[in-house]
Amino acid sequence: MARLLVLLATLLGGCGYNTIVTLKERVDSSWAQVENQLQRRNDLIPNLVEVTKGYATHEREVFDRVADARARLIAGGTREQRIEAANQLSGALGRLLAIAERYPDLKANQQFARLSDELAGTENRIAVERMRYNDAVREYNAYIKSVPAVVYARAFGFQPQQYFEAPEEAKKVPKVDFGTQGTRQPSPN
Amino acid sequence: MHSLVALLALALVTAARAAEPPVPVPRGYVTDLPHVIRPDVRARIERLNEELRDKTGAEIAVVAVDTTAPLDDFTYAMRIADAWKPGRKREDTGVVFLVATRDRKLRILVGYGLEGILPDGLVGEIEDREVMPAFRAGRIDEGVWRGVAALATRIADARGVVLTGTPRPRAPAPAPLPGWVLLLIILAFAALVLYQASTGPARFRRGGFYPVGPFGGFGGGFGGGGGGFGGFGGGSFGGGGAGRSW
Repeated sequence: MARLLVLLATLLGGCGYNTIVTLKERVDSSWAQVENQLQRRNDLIPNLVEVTKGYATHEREVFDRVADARARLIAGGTREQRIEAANQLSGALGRLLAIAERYPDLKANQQFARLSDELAGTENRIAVERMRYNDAVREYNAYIKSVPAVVYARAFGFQPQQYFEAPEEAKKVPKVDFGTQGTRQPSPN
Repeated sequence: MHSLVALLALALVTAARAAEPPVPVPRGYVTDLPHVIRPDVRARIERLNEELRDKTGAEIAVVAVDTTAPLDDFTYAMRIADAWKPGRKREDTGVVFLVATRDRKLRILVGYGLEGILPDGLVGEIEDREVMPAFRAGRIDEGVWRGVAALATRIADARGVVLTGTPRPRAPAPAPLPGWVLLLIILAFAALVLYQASTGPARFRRGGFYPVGPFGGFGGGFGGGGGGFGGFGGGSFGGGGAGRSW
């Protein structure tokens, strides 16, 4: 019996069980980074909405949508649900920022400009962490399907992990074009 | 079978990556492919960067390209950041300052370690205040210089150091001394040497030999520059920063 265990341990060590664990840990730690950035974005939203509301009073629907998506993300859930909520929020925020194009006073507001830069930067950070997470998932998923790791993966219940796929619209970082209008500084002519 | 599929997928991914356009090789702190930055401005940026690195460990990599196509400016700047790694290793104190002249795009990326000092909102503000007005007026090198100087000053302030290369109107060089004063100094020096030589072993008076030290800085200006670039430090980036188009 003991000999069998030793044999088993050697096999496990030599044939990639440790590698599976390492790769799985990388998936989880890069997901934690994604979560950090999602959290950061969630923290930015109240201020952004506050400033926007001051100028764009008739855009209730957009504000509601942002609030809903944010609440869903805060509520937690499985990784799959969170990815969906995060994408939904990206879409809603894109619409929120698009409002600015219709309200020149809002666009000229310093605080709004700062907050939209922070938001755009955070969307970029999410995109970077998403890419790193997906790389980790890709490597892990490929590995647990390879021989002989597939045997251990089955035996120990390692499941393939889900990619963080963003819809095309969410991949585009919401952008307010401060450049062309010369909002904070009149363009010197 | 599974492994074959996985291998094939991996090969495809690798091939797709390899097909992406390579980023340029860094040519010092300023890599200016379309030649939009005048040599003197370039030298000024390099001096400031050297001083900044010496005093804070931060590095600002300036890149000018024609276009970032087929990539967008953010992705292109991230590629550069990942390939060049400006900023001190583990402290991640790097900045990438990218200008795409034909695309009319500006993108500043901030390394992890500087995100607290240079939050995205502030980077955007610096872009609006210092860089964009000059870019809109077609003065690329002025915009780049003002932007780099503002970023460097902010970093130096946060670290409690002062950059002497920064002030735009440079302190006027000290007026050269009139000839007769110089002559007097030389004569006095010669007299000192002769006196010392005539009064026995010099080792007793060694200390008296160097009162001329403070004059070493004549002629003003900053020496060197250019020669000291030995690659960037190894900083990493998470996507922070801000961009503009003009």
